[in-house]
Amino acid sequence: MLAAPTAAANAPVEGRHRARALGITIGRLPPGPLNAITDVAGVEVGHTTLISGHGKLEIGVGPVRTGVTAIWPQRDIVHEFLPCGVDVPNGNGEFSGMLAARNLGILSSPICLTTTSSVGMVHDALQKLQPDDELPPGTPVVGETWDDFLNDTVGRHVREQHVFDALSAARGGPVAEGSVGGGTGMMCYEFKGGIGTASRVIEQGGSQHTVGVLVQANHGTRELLRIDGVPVGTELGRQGQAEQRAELNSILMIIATDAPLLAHQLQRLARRATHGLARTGSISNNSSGDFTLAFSTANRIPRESFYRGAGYTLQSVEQFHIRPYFEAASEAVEESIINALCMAEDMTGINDNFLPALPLTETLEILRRHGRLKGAVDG
Amino acid sequence: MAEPALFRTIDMPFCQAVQFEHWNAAPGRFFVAVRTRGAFTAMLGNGVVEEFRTLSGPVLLAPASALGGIYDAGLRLADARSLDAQIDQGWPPLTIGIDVTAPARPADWIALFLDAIRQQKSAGTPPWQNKVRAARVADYRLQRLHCHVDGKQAATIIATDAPLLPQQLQRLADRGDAPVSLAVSLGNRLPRVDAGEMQQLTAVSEQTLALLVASARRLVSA
Repeated sequence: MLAAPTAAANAPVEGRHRARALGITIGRLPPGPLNAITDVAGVEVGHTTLISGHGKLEIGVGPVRTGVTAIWPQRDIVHEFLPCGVDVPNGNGEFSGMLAARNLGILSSPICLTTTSSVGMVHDALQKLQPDDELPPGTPVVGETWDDFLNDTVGRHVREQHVFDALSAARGGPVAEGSVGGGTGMMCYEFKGGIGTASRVIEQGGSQHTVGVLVQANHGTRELLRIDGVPVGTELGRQGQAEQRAELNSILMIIATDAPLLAHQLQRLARRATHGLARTGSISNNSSGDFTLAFSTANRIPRESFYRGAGYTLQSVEQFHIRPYFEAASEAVEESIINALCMAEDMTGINDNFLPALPLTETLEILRRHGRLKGAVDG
Repeated sequence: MAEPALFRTIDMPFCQAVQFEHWNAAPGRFFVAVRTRGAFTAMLGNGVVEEFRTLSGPVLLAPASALGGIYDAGLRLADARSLDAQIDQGWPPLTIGIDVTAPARPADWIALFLDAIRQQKSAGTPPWQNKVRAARVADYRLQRLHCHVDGKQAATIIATDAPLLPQQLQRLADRGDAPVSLAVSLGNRLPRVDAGEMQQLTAVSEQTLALLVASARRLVSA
């Protein structure tokens, strides 16, 4: 997460850097120390990235450009549930666990993000983590986006062990972004997309809470791309690139917070992700599978108490004081998407399909022209 | 000795107020869930209720053709508590329409409405009928108000003192098979707290909820 020495006018940008390191500052609220979903204590992220082969697509062989991203909301999630809520800006996709969120208001599984054709396998792998006893098992949570421009999607290259590897690799601390994990083969505004993350810190009434976001960004057409309000996609133009089948693409947005929000409040928080998504230009295409899941680590509900016995206790933020969390979620989603774009690198996939990374030098020049660049900072 | 009711009704010839606590109680809210069926559309205030999943004033039942007027009367009641449209002081008046011919209202009906609520005293009979049923489940009570028009279901309100969260209440409301069903939990009263302070809540287990849902099903079919 080093600062990029790129704030000087017209200096070419070497390598890939996060938005803030480039001087792009989204919103008003301060980020957490890592500017990542892992700023929420207990949240861990791991990736399995699968890249192999070149050239012509041979189904079942490759080329392979895919993977799995695993999020532990907290390590003991299968025994201690967390309140959660979901929102679906456009539902042409798969995101298991929605019914558990809506009907029970709880998250009872790690969250995995992957490619479309691997949802079933990842689901069953997550099911194996559930306790085998007389109580009902939890509900696996797996979301997908479609990576068929670069990846042998139909070949189903994600295996059960890859899921377990991502779960085992998960850590707190900095999160790898761009073409990693479930985001490996993804396309965002017809540039290389993938995994992005960001966070915001809220201070209110002497309390401090964090809202962290991780996205698997695989959505949008280039002309719509906006960065910090600037129509970067239009100004960049196609630069020789053909139009891609981006309207089939989607985004998964995961929001974590240590604020004690209840399930119905988390549903409201999840809905605010759409505002951040929209600020990057998305209109949630007709064919998109755009899903948001929001969870809170503040109220841990023992599985035993959830299912039987006298009940359990919870804390909750007063509804009158919930507004800053909405702003935080919206900003962090917006910045996560921009981070995914800024961190992803050029990629060539099946049939030599080439997907360029967002050109940072030109992007910064456009932002500079619009007066939107600030000094580069760490993170 | 009979247990105190979980709600009281204040009847008028042109509406009925279903009250879960005094209309002018200190700021606070109860969780609520709403389920509508079929072509039912006659409800005002439900947008806010669905957003916040809480209720802070009486539920008003009104002839569907008089829905707006009764809602406006309810709004005046909320105004008497706070002029700031606060969700914990009676905003919005959740108003449910009943498919029944609306009786003529006297010219001073709004004053009659406000007086009846303020004095906590019925002033007539609405043009629909009520049945009230009660049950006890574990340590909790359930009471159901079933409104019908000559035997035809119109609305069901299920109240409980069990501390149910909104998604749990929704499963209770889903048991109702009237055009509109409400479930209200009095088990968590959410007072207004300062920024940085947290609401303290309780919730029942799935085991207890299953018993409550089964009991609610029996109540609505009784």
